[in-house]
Amino acid sequence: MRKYFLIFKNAIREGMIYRIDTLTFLFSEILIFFSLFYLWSSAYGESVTIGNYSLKEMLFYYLAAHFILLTAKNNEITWMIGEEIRMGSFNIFLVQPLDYSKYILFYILGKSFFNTLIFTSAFCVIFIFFGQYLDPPNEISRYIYFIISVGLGFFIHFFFNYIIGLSTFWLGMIQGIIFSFWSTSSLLEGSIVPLDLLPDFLQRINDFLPFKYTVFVPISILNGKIDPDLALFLIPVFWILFLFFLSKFIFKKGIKRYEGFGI
Amino acid sequence: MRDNKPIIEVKNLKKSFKHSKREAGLRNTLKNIFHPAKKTKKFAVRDIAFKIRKGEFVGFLGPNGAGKTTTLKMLSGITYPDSGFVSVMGFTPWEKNIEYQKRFSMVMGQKSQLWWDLPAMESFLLNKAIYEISNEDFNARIKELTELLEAKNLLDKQVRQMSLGERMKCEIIASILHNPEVLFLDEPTIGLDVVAQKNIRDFLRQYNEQKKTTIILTSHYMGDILKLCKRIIIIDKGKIIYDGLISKLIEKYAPNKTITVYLDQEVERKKLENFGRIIQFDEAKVVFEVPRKKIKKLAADLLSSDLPIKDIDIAEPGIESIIRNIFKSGL
Repeated sequence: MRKYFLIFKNAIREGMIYRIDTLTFLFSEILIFFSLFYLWSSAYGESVTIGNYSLKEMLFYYLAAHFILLTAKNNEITWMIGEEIRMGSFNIFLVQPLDYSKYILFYILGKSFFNTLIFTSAFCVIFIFFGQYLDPPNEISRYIYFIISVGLGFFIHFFFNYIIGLSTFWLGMIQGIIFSFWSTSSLLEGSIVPLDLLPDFLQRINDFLPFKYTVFVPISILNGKIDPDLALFLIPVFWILFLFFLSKFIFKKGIKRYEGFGI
Repeated sequence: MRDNKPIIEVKNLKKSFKHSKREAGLRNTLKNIFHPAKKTKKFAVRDIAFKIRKGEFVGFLGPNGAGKTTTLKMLSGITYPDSGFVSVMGFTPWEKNIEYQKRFSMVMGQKSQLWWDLPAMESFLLNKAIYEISNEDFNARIKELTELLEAKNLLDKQVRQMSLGERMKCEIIASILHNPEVLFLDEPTIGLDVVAQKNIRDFLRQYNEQKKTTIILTSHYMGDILKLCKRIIIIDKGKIIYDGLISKLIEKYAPNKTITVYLDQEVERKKLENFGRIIQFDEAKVVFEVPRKKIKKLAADLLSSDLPIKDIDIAEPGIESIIRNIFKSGL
């Protein structure tokens, strides 16, 4: 296991090397948040609620959604896997006693860990200065449920991204797929608008998909719109198991193809 | 002989790739979407066989696309063949036995295994964990290898700030930290300048001599192979066309040497023909071709004669030109 711990550590070190990049990211987040603030303020105008969100709740929702995207969406691995396979540096994983899925998992855990440290502190600062516009919940238990829920969402994201990355074995180039998946999942997980504002039929389709458990459900547990029911934790676990076995299967098929072709 | 059993054995190895033909131009690309072109089978390796003994340093030589890298990929388990038998240290590579993976290594000149943004040492430490190298072994190996490669100052250097030559030194260190018994080198000097090439070569020769590691090297630079390998395997169009000592190749395909004589004044051709076969005759320059064994005698004869000789030059057709001829016309 030590090797995977080192991969985790190296990923953190990489994050520290690109401090400027991380800070720029942070800056753009703040900018986005301000635009959202003004956009929604004017959208609300005189009205008190949209859907069942007050302005404060809406802003809090977006802030939480951004926090999740920054710490747990880890879509960069999709691109990383794609490049490794496409350019052939994937070869090294066939030569060394190293498990590829674990390598990717621990790498992204390292990245997420680093991002969580940075963005948690940044968001705390936002709370301190803008708390009055946001109305964050007070109960500690909700934060704990939120963290567990986001943790499960992390793995759903991880396996989706991993599987899409592996599709490079067949497709060679996956930029288009990455982008379409990214926009579809952004909509269905609730990072563009809260899902309860979407039309009914979309919400019903979404009930059969895992996406909402990555963003919308954790936030709704946090802001108290839904109660932390056991099912909200069991269903994503089921999805994670399903995606885990699916990814194993796809990896096996992909490797066979890769070995046959020697891309 | 200490150990006569081959460490690497290859028999009837075959490998083909399926290619779908892609024609150029937007129209054809569109056409391809609706009527995908038929896939054609192309053999990259056809019926290769060889044996390599422990401690040998063998060069794979051949033009681009000859099948060198494909063969190395099968030996390392990256690809599996259509048919045929491969055994390296008793393992079948594409079964990916962990025991096998711990006992060989591969350096791919065009691909990096180092962490781009971190100091090289971090990649070495990761390999230490991957190959479960003990602390003492690791420290001793790092010390030894960085001394041999003059790479001490590179340990703390970020990989992306390294020159290509420096990076290649680190790639090699990373690959052999676990003291592999078999080492595959695919173009380890590609793109390097002359000095860096020489550094890597010197290191590889020393390393092979000291550790008795079995090494297979592919390279475009004939210089690499001539300096490092006694034995070469020449591959062309997926087949082995020569497997043997370089010295034998020279004897066999270049049995003659040439002597060029520069004269102060013109001499009658007839008078010169008494000495040996003339292949070129200019006013003041005459080129003789003689079998290797007779070269000394001819030189002595010429110099002790009364000919108005200004200068004399003995030359060997370079191995490079021999091999070029082989690729051009076959054996």
